[in-house]
Amino acid sequence: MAIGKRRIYEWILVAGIVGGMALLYFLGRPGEIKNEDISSGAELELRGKFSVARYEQGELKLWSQGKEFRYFRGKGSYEILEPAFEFETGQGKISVGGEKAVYQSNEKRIQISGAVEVRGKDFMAFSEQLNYEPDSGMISGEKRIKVQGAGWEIEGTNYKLMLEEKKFELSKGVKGQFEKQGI
Amino acid sequence: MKVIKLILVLGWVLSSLIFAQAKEKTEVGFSGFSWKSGELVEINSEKMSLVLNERRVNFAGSVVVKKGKSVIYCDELVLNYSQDGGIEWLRASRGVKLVEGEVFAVGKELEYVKGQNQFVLRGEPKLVSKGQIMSGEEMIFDLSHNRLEVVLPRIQFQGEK
Repeated sequence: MAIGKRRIYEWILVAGIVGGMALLYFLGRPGEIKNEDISSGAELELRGKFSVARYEQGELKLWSQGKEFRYFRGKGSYEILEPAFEFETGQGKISVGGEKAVYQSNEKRIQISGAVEVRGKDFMAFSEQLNYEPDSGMISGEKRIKVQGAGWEIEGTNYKLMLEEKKFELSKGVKGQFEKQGI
Repeated sequence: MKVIKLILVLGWVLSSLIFAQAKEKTEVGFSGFSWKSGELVEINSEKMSLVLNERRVNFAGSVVVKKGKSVIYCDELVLNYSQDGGIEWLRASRGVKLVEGEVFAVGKELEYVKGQNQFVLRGEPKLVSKGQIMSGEEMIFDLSHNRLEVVLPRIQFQGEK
C-alpha cells in the first residue's frame, strides 16, 4: 500500500514536470508568423534619385528622372515617383513634372498625376493629371488644365496638346483672359 | 445783299444744328471696347484651339467676350495676340451681338484691328439705341474718337408707346 502511494507521488511528479514543460513550450512560443510580402512586387526597383537618357540617331530625345522607379514585368508597366521628363521636339525643349508617373506598355502612354506642370519655351500648363503618348508626341487629359503665357491664360477641360505643332485644344468649359490691353 | 446775309446766317444755323445732331449720334460708340491700357479681356466659350507659334486662338461655341461694360456674343472668334498678351486683331462671326447698357448692335461679322482702334461690323449690321434702329452695309466704330461711321445708312425711329 505504501509502495502504491509512492508510485502515485512519482506519477504526479512526472506529470507535473511534463505539464510544466508543455506550459513553458506554449508560453514561450512566438506568435504565428504571417507570410506577408513586404516588397512592392516589382521585378526591378530603384530607390533613390535616378536619371535615364534616351538617344535617337545621336540626338537626345527623352531624358527622365525621379525619386523611385519600379518595373513590373508581368503587368508590362513601370512607375516613377516624383518624375521629371524632358522631351526634345521640333519646337524646342518641353519639360513635364508631377508626383507620380505610370507607363502602360499596352496603351503606350505615360500617365502623370498630382500637381502636373508642363513648361515650354513660351508657355506653362498646370493640371492634376495628363497622359503623354511618346510615339505621337501628344499630351491629353480630361481634368481641368490652365495654360499660361506672357499676359494671357486659358483654362478648360478635355484637352489635347500636340507638342510638335505646339497646338493646344480644349473642348469643354473654356475661360480665357488677356491682359494689358492698350495702344 | 440782306437776302444773301439772311441765307448765310440761316445756312450756318442749320449746318450747326445738323452737326450738333450728328455729334450727338456719334456718342453711340462702344466705349467699353476702347482697349484702354491695363484692362482685362475675359473670353468664355465651349471649345478652343491655340497655335502657340502663330499666337492665334480660335474660340468656338457660345463665345462671350467681356471688357469693362461691353460684351460681344458670337459663335466663333479668332484672335491674334502680341508677345505681351495684348490682342492685336480679332474677328467674331456667326450671330454677332455687341451690347453695352441699353445699346446693342448685331451683324454677321465683327473685326477689330488694334492699330486702327476700330470695330467694323459687317453683314446686315444693325444698331439699336434709344428707340432708333440704324442699319447699313457696314458700320465702323472708331473707338479712339468715339465716332460711328455707317456706309449706306438707313435710320428708323420707333414711336413712343
